Amino acid sequence: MQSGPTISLTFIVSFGALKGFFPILQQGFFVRIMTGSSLEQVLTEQMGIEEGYIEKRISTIFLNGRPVDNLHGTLAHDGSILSLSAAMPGLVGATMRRKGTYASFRSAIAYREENDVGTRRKNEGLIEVKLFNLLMAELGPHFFKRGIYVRADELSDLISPIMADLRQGRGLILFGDRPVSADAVKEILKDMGPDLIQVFVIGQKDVVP
Amino acid sequence: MDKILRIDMGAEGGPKITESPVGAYAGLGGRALTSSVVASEVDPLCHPLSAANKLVIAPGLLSGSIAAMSGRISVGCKSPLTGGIKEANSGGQPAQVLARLNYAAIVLEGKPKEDTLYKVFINKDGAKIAEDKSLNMLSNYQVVEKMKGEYGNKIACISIGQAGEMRLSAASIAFTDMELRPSRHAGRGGVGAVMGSKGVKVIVIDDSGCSTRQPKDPEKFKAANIKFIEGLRSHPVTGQALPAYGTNVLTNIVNEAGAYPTYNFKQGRFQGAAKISGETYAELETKRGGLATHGCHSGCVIRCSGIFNDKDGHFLSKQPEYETVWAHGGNCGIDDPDKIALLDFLDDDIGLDTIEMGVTIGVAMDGGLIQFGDVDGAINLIKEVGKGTPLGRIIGSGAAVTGKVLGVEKVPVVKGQALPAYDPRAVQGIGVTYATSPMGADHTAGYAIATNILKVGGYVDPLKPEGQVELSRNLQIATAAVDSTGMCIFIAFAIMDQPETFQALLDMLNAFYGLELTAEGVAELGKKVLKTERDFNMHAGFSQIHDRLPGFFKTESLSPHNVTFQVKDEELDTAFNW
Ligand code: SF4
Repeated sequence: MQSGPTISLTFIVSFGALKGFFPILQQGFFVRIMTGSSLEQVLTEQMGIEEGYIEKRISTIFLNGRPVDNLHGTLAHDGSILSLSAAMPGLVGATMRRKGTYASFRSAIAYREENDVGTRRKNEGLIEVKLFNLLMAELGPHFFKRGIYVRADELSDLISPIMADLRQGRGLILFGDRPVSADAVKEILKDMGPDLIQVFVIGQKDVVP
Repeated sequence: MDKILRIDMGAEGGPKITESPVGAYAGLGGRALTSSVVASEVDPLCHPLSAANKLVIAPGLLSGSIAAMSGRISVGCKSPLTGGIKEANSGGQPAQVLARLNYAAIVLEGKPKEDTLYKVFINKDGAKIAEDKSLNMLSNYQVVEKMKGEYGNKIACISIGQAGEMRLSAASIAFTDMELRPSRHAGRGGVGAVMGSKGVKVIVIDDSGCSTRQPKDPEKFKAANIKFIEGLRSHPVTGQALPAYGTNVLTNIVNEAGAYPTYNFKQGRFQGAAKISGETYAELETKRGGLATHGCHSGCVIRCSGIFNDKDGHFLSKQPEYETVWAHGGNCGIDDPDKIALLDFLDDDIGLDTIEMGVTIGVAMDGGLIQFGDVDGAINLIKEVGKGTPLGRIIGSGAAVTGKVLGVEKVPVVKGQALPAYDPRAVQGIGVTYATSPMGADHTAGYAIATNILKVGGYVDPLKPEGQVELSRNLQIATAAVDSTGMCIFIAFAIMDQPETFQALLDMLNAFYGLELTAEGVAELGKKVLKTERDFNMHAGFSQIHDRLPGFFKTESLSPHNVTFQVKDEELDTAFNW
């Protein structure tokens, strides 16, 4: 997987078709960040998510598969995997909540930051982000609009189910700033293999006045 | 609900029906009632399939009223799977219907002298029982179809499939949903085998001509119910996550946490999890004209269920629950949502516990009977159970028996019952509940996360590993209490975070019965139920050595976090010191 020079695809589609891209969100996509920053900074300053929303809505956060309790004291590193979820049912759903009453149940796997916050040098890097459940619809369009990075071969698989719609000309696809057909997109992605491609997905109502 | 219907299946001259006042069991519902009857009327040393065992079916305290979420029904007996006391509960319509007919419980006792089958019909005029050999080896869907033909569409059914008739230890009891489909099950512990041993194939209930149960104080009751519903609707779990995705919304989360038992508990993550997640199922349901949000009984406002259609838009099964998707999916290396839904349907139709079946097939895969990921092989194994072949009977007897037959060392059971969908090495506290619950490994035994509101136990630092045993104990008490109200356990999320919603529940109970129940009183009920159940098990021969997880959880570490189960035996032994 290389991050090389940025190649981008922009899909301008109806809201219904935009939902077709949601599987990308639960499977995982990449975002450029300043690594060595706290998760709090990454989510608010670098990803543009409001603090109130994080407190109220993103009740479950995993870093590298470990539940996180302290956003301020946890650092994002190059290659980290950050997963975000709304409040979940079940005892285990409650157990995974940030600082929840039952957090001790999963203390064996909880995230523990080993680096000293504030002393880390900051560099540009890539982290993988996964959005689950209610956050897919709530935060997905936000990330799509800002642009995400996806492995070209994975994007090709993920958009297969919506290719028919795209082929019928429902929506517009830009390769860089040049319009391309759905079949051309398939070819481009095939040639790129596992390399990352930047993807924007924009709702038509956001571009049509 | 002031009477109990008893059917003595072994009476001279054929089954004998009696109705008696609730008497000593007055004021009890759901699990509190089933466990009390079993503990005081069943010999703990009896064979679970013998005439001495009893099968108790009891709606909740508020079933049959307009109270939201009040349609849970409990089934109790001595379990053929665990050898201990069992309470398994289910959604579906029968709780509401039975309660409107004024029955606090149905008790099946004795055993028919001949190997034959009966159907029971209950309506406002009373109960009737008739022999019906034509029901022999019908599946649940077939038997319900037949009953619709005989009694019309305004009925609810409680039935067993072929597995129950064969008295297999993984047999469930089916309860019909609002569409009259036998899709809701009291799954765990082989309760269907006990119904089969009584020779009862189906209980048909019809509440035509009966009215909704009326509270003592209608005004207060109505106001509390409105508040209760508002609380459920405004909470993100009960108002949004569960309705949108159902319980299977947990797949991604548990997988991400590395707590998703995969390939018969060999690893904590499954590569294909996103393909079978609640998010994926909801998308498919909507696209194929099914339903992603649906209730299992009238009066449910959370509606965590759904309807799953096949590619051509035909009904395939109800929306499979998280535990089912895990058991037949990740646990067996299967990531095909359609095939998992088919397995769910087959379990429902033959009358099998989906958790027990998925874990059993995982054990069979580990034993080399078929390969992990062999979905058609898994489907065939379930069909073998329905046909009653020797192999099918082994599989239908659950994971412990199958593990023995195939010589498999790694068999994830406690007290003979298969572990559910959360690996206790990653979520150690739930391991305490699996090990110590009188029910055998059961995720719902410590599910009511409202311990704070129920005021059971003191403060436990959420971020310290200590105190897991105490928390598990408190959870088990709270769960026993909620199970005894007969409310759907999923209300726990809203009552944990919103004290006013819990108060509304108490107000409903108080207004209905003219009581002055407090949080402490509810917790006391939970303790009493647990104590009753543990005493029964003790007399059935259980001791502390049965409160243990299988050894491999302590010795084999679970990837990706490489953890083993760390809670010491001495700590487990304190689980019920209160
Ligand atoms: S929340 Fe789910 S399980 Fe509970 S009553 Fe409603 S549909 Fe049934």
